[in-house]
Amino acid sequence: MNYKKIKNEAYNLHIINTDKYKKTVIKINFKNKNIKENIVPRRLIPTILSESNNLYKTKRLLSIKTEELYNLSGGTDVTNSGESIITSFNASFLNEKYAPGLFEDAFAFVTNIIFNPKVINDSFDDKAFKYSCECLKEEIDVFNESPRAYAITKMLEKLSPDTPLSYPPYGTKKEIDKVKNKDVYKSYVDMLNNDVVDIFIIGNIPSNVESIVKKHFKLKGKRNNTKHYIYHDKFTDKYNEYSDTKDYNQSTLLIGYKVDNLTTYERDYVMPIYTYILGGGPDSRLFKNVREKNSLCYSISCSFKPLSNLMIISSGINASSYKKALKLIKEEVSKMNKGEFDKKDIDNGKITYLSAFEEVNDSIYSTLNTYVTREYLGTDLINTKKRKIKKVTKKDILNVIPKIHPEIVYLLEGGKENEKKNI
Amino acid sequence: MKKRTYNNLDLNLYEETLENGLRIYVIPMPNVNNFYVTLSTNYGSIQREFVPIGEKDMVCVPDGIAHFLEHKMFEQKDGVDPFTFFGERGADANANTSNFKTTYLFSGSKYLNENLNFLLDYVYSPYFTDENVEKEKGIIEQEMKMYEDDPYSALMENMVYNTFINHPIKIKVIGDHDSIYSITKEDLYTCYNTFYHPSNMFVVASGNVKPKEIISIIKKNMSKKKFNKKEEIILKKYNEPDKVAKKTDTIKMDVNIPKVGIGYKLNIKNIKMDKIKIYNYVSLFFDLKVDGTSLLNEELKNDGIINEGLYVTYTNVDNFVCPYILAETKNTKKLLDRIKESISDIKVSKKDFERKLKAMKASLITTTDNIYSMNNKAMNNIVRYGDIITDGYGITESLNYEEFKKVIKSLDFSNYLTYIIKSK
Repeated sequence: MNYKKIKNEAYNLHIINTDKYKKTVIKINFKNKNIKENIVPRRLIPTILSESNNLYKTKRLLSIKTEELYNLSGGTDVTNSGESIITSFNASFLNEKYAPGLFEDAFAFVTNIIFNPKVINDSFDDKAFKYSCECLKEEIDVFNESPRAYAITKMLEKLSPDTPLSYPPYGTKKEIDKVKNKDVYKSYVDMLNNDVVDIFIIGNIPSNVESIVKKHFKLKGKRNNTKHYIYHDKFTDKYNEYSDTKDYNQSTLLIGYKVDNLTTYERDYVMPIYTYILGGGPDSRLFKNVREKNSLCYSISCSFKPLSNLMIISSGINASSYKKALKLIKEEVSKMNKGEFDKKDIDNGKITYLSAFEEVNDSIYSTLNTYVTREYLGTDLINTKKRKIKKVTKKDILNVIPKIHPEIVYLLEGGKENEKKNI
Repeated sequence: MKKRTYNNLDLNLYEETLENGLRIYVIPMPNVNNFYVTLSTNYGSIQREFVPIGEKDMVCVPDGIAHFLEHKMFEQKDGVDPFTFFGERGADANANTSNFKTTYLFSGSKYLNENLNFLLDYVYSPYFTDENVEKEKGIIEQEMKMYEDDPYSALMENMVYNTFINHPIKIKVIGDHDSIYSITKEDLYTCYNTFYHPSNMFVVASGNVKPKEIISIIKKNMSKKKFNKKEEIILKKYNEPDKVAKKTDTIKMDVNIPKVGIGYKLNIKNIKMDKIKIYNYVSLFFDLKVDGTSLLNEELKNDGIINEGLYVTYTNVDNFVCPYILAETKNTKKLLDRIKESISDIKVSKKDFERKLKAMKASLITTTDNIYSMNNKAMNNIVRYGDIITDGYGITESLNYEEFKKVIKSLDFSNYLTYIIKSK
């Protein structure tokens, strides 16, 4: 795998040349500070761009074009990345061996979506704008239909009200009703002129890639980089309990911990091993004790979110089991904190991560992602990761334990009546 | 060991059948580090009425038992937890049950020999006790509730239920509360002894694997195990009427936007053609009619009836191909009327048909990079066609517009059902 980063005034071009895959993938990222008021405009932009292109007059014609490009799989997404928000334009398609000349057509296709929307009087096409607003409202509705997604949003609002963690991921319907077409267009111009831009290309890439990119991607002007990691400065060190009720069959139990003052090594290597032992999979303490021994749940897991420095334990239970489940979970956390785990537990975690690292390069998307996270978060590439994870010791884990602060227990209670019938 | 080549996809397939009947398929894939090994039995939720091996009379076992059995296979007499065993060797292990099969699997990059031996050891050593069977019921109940809260799972399960009259595919894989709580260890042994004989099972290994090595490990392991003589499994046959079981239905759930589905029950018995070609033609037709390239999709969006697209999924069993079109809308009646109208108009242009074929061929190539997709496709082929299809590319190339029109014309699109999930 041959990696090259070319810095231009307005964007970085990352070329990862490899014959390993039958596909080529292009990812063009625009990144800026995540500001609450900007969420709705930023979420609307990708839909508007694909609905009102000057070349492909309708989304249908655009979809037909993707099939003509040997079933190019294209898409856009907007993701919250800690303190930043990233708008991505993606395409994956057959590599040059199977479809010679496709690379330039595919790159031109993606850039055309970004740069060529219908614009009248500093506003987007009104029909596309209105349609995008309806889509976003629907996305909010659908997101809130998932018990776990809904519960996590509610928990984060309470856990960290002053940070981007508490922002509704898709904005609110009120904000959508208020937003003006002109404001969204302004946000789009701002995205083009001020966002940090990274173009990642991976696959069997033609040698004239730089000239192809220059020909189709014509942004100018310097940009200021943004931060990603969210840090915490207030800790209660208590399991503050909250609950809501919704008409679900199952209750969702979430326990949130703020994690403070980690070193890069602790964040990237020690915390993953800690959470693996506690609740990383079917071999974990929580799975074995809460599920297998006590039959209280089907799903239970613990994960660490490095960008937000949060550790979250999540389970689907009966509301009537709440106290028992919480007690068992706290007991398992407490045992971990007392150091009741051994080298074998740590070695199992290491071997699991090493195996996952081995698999990264099997997938073009995972490989690409290692370069994206290295660019934004400074994380190591796979070979370094393999070396560093092997170094984690029990002492390292004991050192991070005081940095994990219990903050919140959130129960989204499901329909009780139904549960009583089933007990 | 027999070698076959995947037409135009730069991959080979190696296969061997052991004396005890276990079939082994190996798909070595260049450029990957990981391997993915699956051991499956042709036993899923639809095998609910059968003559147990060694008995004479047909029995009907509780619904959800194939899935329950899958959970209980992770219980071992010596107390070794399979998840721990695989975890200690860096492998990701799991299992799943569908209407048609149950699969035990692991993936990883090291300890192939140990992991494969262990997979064979634990799947071929059942250990069910009253206590461990009882313990599982609460866990499965929670799994069931998790699916019940997912509106699309509910929509699909209910639609399949309303499509079929006699065929057990209508019953949920997980069963229901009462059936799960009625399961005993004796029921589990009855099913295990009938369906977990090697002659009813197959291994598929894909990725960073060497055919000789895989086959030799399995041969050696299986030679140490004793099995009864292979016996034919007698399954109940179902006479499924053409008509759908229930034409329309509505339920209420805690959803913000109503979900709708329209399903077609298409009998393909009289079409004299390979099933795989028929499936391809039907799938092409529905894609052309409702996906993002269709006029219907565009018009529904323009008229404010849908925002997101329409989604098609299939349940195919025996002579029935059942496409289900799913969507969310606040205007359920209009949406269903418009879909019905569009599907009943079977005209499709040759240009659109040819474009879809080109896209299909490209997709065949790109999926060969993925060890999981190749393995899953192989398993599904075995369950559906009894063998792995290595000429998917050739079959796609052989599809043609005239034949397509004939197949579509012979289908009865008036035989449909609709389902609505309303907001509470």
